[in-house]
Amino acid sequence: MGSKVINFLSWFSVALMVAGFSAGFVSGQWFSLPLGVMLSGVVLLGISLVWRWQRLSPSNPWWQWRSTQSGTNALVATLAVLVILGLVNFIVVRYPYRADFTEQKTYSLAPQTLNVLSALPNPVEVLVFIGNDPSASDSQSQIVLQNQLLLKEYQRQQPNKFKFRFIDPQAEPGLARKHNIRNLGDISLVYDQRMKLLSSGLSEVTLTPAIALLTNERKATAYMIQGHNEVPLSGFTESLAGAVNQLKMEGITVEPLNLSLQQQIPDDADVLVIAGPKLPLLEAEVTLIRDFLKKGGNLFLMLDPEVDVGLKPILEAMSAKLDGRLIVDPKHARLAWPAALTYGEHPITESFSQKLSFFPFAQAVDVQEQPGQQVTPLLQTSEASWAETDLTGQQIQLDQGRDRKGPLTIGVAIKRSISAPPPAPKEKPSPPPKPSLSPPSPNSSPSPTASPTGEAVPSASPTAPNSESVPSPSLAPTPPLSTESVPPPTGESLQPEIQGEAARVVIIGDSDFAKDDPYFEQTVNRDIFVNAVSWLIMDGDDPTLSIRPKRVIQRTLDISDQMRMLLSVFGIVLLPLTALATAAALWWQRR
Amino acid sequence: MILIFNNVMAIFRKELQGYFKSSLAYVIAGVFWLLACSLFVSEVQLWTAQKTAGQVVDVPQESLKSFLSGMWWLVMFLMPSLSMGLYAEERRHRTLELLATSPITNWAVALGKLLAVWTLFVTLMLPVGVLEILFLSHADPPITAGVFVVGHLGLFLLAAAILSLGLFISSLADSSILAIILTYALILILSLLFLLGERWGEPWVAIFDQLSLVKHYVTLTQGVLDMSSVILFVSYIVLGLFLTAQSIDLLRFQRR
Repeated sequence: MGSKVINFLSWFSVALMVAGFSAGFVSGQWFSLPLGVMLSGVVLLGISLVWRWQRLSPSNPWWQWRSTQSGTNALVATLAVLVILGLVNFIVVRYPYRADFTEQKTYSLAPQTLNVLSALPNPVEVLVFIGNDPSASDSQSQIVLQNQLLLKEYQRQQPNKFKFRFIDPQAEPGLARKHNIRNLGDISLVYDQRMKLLSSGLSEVTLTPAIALLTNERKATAYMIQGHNEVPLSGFTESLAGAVNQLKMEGITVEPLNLSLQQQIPDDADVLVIAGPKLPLLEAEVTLIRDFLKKGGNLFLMLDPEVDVGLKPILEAMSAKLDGRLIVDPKHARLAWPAALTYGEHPITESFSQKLSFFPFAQAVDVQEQPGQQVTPLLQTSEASWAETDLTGQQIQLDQGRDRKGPLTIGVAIKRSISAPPPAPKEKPSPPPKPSLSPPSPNSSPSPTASPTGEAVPSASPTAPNSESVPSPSLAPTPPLSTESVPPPTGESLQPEIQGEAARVVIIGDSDFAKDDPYFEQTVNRDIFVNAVSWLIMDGDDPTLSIRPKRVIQRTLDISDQMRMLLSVFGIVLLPLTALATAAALWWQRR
Repeated sequence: MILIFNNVMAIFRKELQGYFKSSLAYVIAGVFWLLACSLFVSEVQLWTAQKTAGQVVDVPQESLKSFLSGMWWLVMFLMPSLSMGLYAEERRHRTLELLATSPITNWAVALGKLLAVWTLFVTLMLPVGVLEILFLSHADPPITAGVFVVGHLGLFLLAAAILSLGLFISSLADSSILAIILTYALILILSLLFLLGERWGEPWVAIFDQLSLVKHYVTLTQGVLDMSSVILFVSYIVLGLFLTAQSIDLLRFQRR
């Protein structure tokens, strides 16, 4: 009787669990009903197991068991073992030790991140706005999983001050609105009263600098130059209001600045933004900006084609040239709205690779590498685009020889060491040896490795005959970073890091892209603007900027088809057949 | 000490010999090899195709990772069929009483049985491992052994944990069929515990995450040797052995 009941109970509990599981699986929601059914199954199973166990000992009242003592002993021992195992597990969870055996330490955080996390003054919360939709595409659930892994790793380092949540924007539209969420997958960082929106996707390269910037107590100020018909800062449309708002939420103060009235650049200016002036700047203004740049100020230039605003002296100081011609992209519905197809490996454009951005009426920007100046192309148009010389012609088409063929660089980030020439004989303790620098040989194949490391330009180098007079202009034959030379994937290792204090400049050959325009809702246009400003106001030597993304090693299985076939047949046919044949033989023998 | 070791080895040997004579073990081996090898080959094909389609992928590493996560299902479904008969068969042949009252401690018996069935699994994995290595040795550029070793360590630990829990259930159940069903149920619960944590919020998330087999297995297959994962698997193994020994111990006083 009893055993029948137990059997029934076991089967019934299993059925309940399966029912609950499949209900939850099918509906995709683990709300109370499927969970309740499953839980009751679990409880019943537990009861049946205990009962089963008890039945092994005498079936009559337990106080009559000869084994009561033994049973109690067993119970106590079991409890003791459970407690011990629980404690051991608790200890390992509390004091984790893990070794990452992946080649690139894919699942470990960079030391810079660990520093930022251990120095967190107040709690940071990361809100990931992504639907918890079971019908979502596989790639999306993959993203959720990856984000979870990364955020967990952050949390493991700083369990009390790092929190994260996944939020379905459809379920909580108010919250999504408060955080200015535009696309699924947007991420909002919350710290005190500040908020930062990350729409570039989550990775250590984007998250750590964002946290560093957000938790920085230093008040950062961006000044927007006014007075030459720049893109307005406020207004319903055609203004930078949305972008400015986002900067303010991040704790960045944005102020207009009219240089012809104020005659000076305020001392607290972390970055100057010149957003699409239509009228030329006065010479005095240009001088002010130039001095600002020389002293290590950061500059953000958004310059439209076909307008000369008198910034040539500043651009020339950086060996930068604006193409001046309008870029057209026949692949796009709006001919003069080229899309950025390739994004540079840079904090500003990190992990934008699958995202869209448009640059209405843009021009190409060419900046040459020079000593003490590190140039990273940020945005490149498609192969099919070109810079049109003659817009008055009947047909807009690529004229060989006259027009410039794409891909064209329309945005660059420049890092310049401040203590560039004239020679500042600041003796470095250990100057890197650079024998290739002297004598300069214009014929030898110029490679970026030849350009010196940051400030070390004028410093002594052991092989240089006269260390103080290594003239930097003679180092000209560094390769022009033209649009034709797309940087190799491993470009970061080739380009020397500019060490120490550095001034940073971002030049984009377009000013319309950051405007409020419904057309840009699904693009990363505004993020490029915000990221650029964020990058420009960061401390130049902020270590979080040097976190390198973990790249996938491109590996193949270089295996011949015959070999593959042979191995497959061995594994899928031969092995199982042998086993089954043996089984059959044994069975036959037994009969 | 030496005596106990010898006892364990005796049980171990007897059990292993039993597998070589039982046709069921060969059927399981055949099914296992068929599924495991086709899984691996198809993963390689899948990722190679992705690569040819122009995606940036690390074919050997990704194949290995997907193969190991697929093995989760295979191990979860095949291990209970190996463990189901460990004690249930003894019960059916009426040798369980003999075993329970024999001078060999219940610990030693349980350990010997577990070792034997785990060795069987390792043996089953051997040809599959050879196939993997033959494939992966063609990786260009070559891969390091770290992820491979840690991932397979995870697989063996997972198998041992499931077998150990299955051993316990087998010691309770009257029939093999019941044992296998109950083992499935238990493994399913342990795998899905983390879902409960996600519902209930904070302290539970940490607790259920730690108890969940899936999460720890995934960590190991990714090439991260996390101490808490190893400890958890070992805990389940120890727990299964301990409970088995206890339940057999209680059996001595059984009076029907």
